[in-house]
Amino acid sequence: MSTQKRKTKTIKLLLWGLFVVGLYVGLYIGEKPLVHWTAQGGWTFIGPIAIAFLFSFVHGHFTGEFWDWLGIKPKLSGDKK
Amino acid sequence: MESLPTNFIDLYFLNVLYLFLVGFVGGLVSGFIGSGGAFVLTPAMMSLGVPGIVAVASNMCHKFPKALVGSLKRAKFGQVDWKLGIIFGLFAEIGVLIGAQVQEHIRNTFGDAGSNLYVSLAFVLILGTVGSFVLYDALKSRKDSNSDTEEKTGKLARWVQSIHIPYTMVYFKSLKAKVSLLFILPLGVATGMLAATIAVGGFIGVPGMMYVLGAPSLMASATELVVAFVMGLGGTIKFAWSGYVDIRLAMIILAGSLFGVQLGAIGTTYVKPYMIKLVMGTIMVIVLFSRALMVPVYLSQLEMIATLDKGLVEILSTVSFAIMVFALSFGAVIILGAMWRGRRA
Repeated sequence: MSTQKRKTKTIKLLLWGLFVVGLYVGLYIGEKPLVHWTAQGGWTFIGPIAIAFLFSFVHGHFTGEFWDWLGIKPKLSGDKK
Repeated sequence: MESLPTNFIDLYFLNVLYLFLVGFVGGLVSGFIGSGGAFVLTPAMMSLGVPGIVAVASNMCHKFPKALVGSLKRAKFGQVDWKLGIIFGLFAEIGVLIGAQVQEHIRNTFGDAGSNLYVSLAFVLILGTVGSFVLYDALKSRKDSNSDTEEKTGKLARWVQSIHIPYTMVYFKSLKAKVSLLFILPLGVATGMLAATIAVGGFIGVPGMMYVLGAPSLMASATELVVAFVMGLGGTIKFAWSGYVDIRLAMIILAGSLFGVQLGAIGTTYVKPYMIKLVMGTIMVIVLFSRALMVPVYLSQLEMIATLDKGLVEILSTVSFAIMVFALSFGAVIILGAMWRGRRA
């Protein structure tokens, strides 16, 4: 991998990592009101679902970049056993 | 100071780390075989003092986003049949509703012990029959020198694909054939019922897609992630509507499981197809022993056999949970080992 490519990948990883940290710090700080709000039942069911989608989007990107950055990539069909 | 709702526990660093790690291993197995990571999470949360219903609800709320990320990842490798996954998932939702009703009826009639006995017997029966068959087939495929080439469609699947029922035929790319929806309906319902009972519908869903419909194991396990997403989303709506989801637990487990599910998905590109069956069959057979150990405990609680000593009950419960954790960890080790060998090759 060229140095430039590696640098871009590192920046992308750090950016997604920053978003993930932001989300989890937010969850930690707002723990009690958030838990109360999402546990009310009824139409607030949208809360846990929206949060789950948001976390999966951000953290999903981060974890994808993480393994890629470590060099753990899928084996392409062309070189499959 | 505002306190947490009464049925939600306080979280500490070690609890969080424990859930993160269990989430990672569960995600790894799910990313690889399409399912199977969830069954250990509910007891793991309950061991921290989380009430059963909150554990089930929070597990469900982490399951659907994990399955979504896993299926999107595996779709990039061309392993997902979205159409089959969504149709199967919708049928599975019906199964979840029926399964939940059956559970409720058993709990109301026979109490918690009766419900636990039913769950354990379902584990033993399904894992004993389907799990042994999957493991046998995996070992047979392993011996076959051509196992890395395209998998052969079995007799049952060829028969299912040959049946033409007007107005119900749908083409699926994973099967490279048209199959009647009337064959998918019972499989989906059974998958949903199992998911509502033991939290892992994939132990019927994946073998069903492989042996009854004729999907290759890689596509079946990847498509099961779509089914898990549909079922998980439906289940989360149901539980969140009643206010049972502890969003903190769900997001902590998700933090670990997304690392795992991505790695498990990548792992599928390194291994021969029989490895999916091998990991699934092995986990199923080991878990079978875990649940079988608990059967005498519930029988004794229902006074169907002599009352067991309190110490013995505790030992059996601990050993049962340990075997479950071992099953999942053993599956994870096989996956990581296979990936390691694949990368070196």
